[in-house]
Amino acid sequence: MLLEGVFFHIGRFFIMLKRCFARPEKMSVYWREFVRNIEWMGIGSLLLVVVIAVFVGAVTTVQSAYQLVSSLIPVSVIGSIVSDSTLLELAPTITSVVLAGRIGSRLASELATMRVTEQIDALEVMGIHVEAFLIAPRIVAAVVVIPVLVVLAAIIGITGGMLIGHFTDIVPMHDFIQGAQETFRPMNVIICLTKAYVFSFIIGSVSSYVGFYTEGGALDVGRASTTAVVASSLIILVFDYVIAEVLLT
Amino acid sequence: MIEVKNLSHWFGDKQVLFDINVTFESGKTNLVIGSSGHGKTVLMKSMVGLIKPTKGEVYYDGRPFHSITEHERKLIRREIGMLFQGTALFDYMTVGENVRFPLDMLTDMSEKEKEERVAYVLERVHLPGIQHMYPSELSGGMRKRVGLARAIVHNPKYLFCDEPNSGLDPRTAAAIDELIYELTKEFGTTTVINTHDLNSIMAIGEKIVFIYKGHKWWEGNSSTILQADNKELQEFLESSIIIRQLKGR
Ligand SMILES: Nc1ncnc2c1ncn2[C@@H]1O[C@H](COP(=O)(O)OP(=O)(O)OP(=O)(O)O)[C@@H](O)[C@H]1O
Ligand SMILES: [Mg+2]
Repeated sequence: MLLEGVFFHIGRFFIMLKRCFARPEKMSVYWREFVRNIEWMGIGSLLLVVVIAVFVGAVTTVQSAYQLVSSLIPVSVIGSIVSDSTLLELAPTITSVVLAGRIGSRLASELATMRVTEQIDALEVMGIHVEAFLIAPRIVAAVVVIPVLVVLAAIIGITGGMLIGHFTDIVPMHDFIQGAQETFRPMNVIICLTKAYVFSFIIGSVSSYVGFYTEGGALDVGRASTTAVVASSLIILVFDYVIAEVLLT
Repeated sequence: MIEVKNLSHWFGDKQVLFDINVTFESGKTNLVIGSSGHGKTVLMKSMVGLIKPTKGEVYYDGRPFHSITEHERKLIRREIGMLFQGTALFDYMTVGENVRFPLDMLTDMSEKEKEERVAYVLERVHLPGIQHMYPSELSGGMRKRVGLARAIVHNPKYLFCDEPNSGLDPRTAAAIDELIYELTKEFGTTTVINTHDLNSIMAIGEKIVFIYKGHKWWEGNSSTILQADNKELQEFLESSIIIRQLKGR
């Protein structure tokens, strides 16, 4: 039963994605839809991401210092821990899970509302490629906006950690930078970006899927938005592990 | 002309439409009447393909609608305008954007032509100059009329209205009926209207199909309906005091 349900959703999910590739009737209208989504996703999430990144960086610095009690270990190690863990895990994963809540829930509730108030039926009757028009611009917008926010979170997180370390006398700035440089590998950036793109695609597509196929009334709209957040967060964590396995081992 | 042939529909094991055969004529207001829950909306949605009927076919001027490819169906749909029971206006778009949406998507009109056309149809529904407003700022009756404007903006050959005047005051309701009637005459549209409004039945019932428990129970027009020898139909009509008085005379 459960397995059947999972296969049903996976099947329908990929059919939905395939339909997103229909040729646009009018590129200009699709573009307008894309820009509208870019705007609310980006502008609406910017402050949230900045605040979270500052705190995550700061906390990582303070906790790394707390764990390094031995005086044999140079404090510059803190710089390397903070920058590596921010790039590899904290910036992409925490940002994405938070944005699953912010962006995913709104995507799902918007589409679910359109479904239960027959707006999607109205598009269908007009003879429009509904998935291509409603879902493709939303997924593309998520894949454009979210990685930018992740990179921003990484930069701000590391900088925040460094400044907190410096001004609370945990680790002087040049030691922090030296530590960060010692263990830096281009691979870390590649992993950060891979995660950002994969996670943003998950947020955009899974949340759209949940919203698009909602049935019922206003209550179900609320339920869809919760389901979208839970589902995309869980799938993000699964892929977090998969990417770590594949790219790190 | 729209022909419905041998149309039956089941939801699960519950049959809601029973072998419906009916022809809706061009240049006429065709009414589908019947009590709540007897299958009017399901019939209309089967005609435009929002529900795939279990059995039967619908022909648009001789062209089959269900037994063709998705792409061919989309082409026929571009000749359809539909006013939904709940209006289905896009709530993130202004009235102007809503009404011009079919033009944006389906035509190559210039910006100026579109604006003129939108202004013209809004005038026809007696709502000039409200292009900048959002659907949420309108009353129920205004939303219905905007929905009608959107349905007719691209000059459809086939117009479907699901209860265009339910929930409206008698004067607005009559104005909407009159408008639909005028448009039908002006453009030779094949118009199908679901209603249980007795005023509409008497005013614009050029062809009337009475649906009873999913069956086509009676067919005629406004001048034959009061004399019809059909128990269920007379019971349906006699729910109105005015009709009772009219028949008493
Ligand atoms: N999606 C559905 N699933 C199951 N049953 C349905 C569904 N949609 C409609 N029905 C059933 O089909 C029957 C006909 O419903 P329909 O909506 O066509 O009525 P209606 O004549 O349009 O009524 P109203 O005047 O209230 O709009 C009802 O018994 C309804 O319960
Ligand atoms: Mg109905």
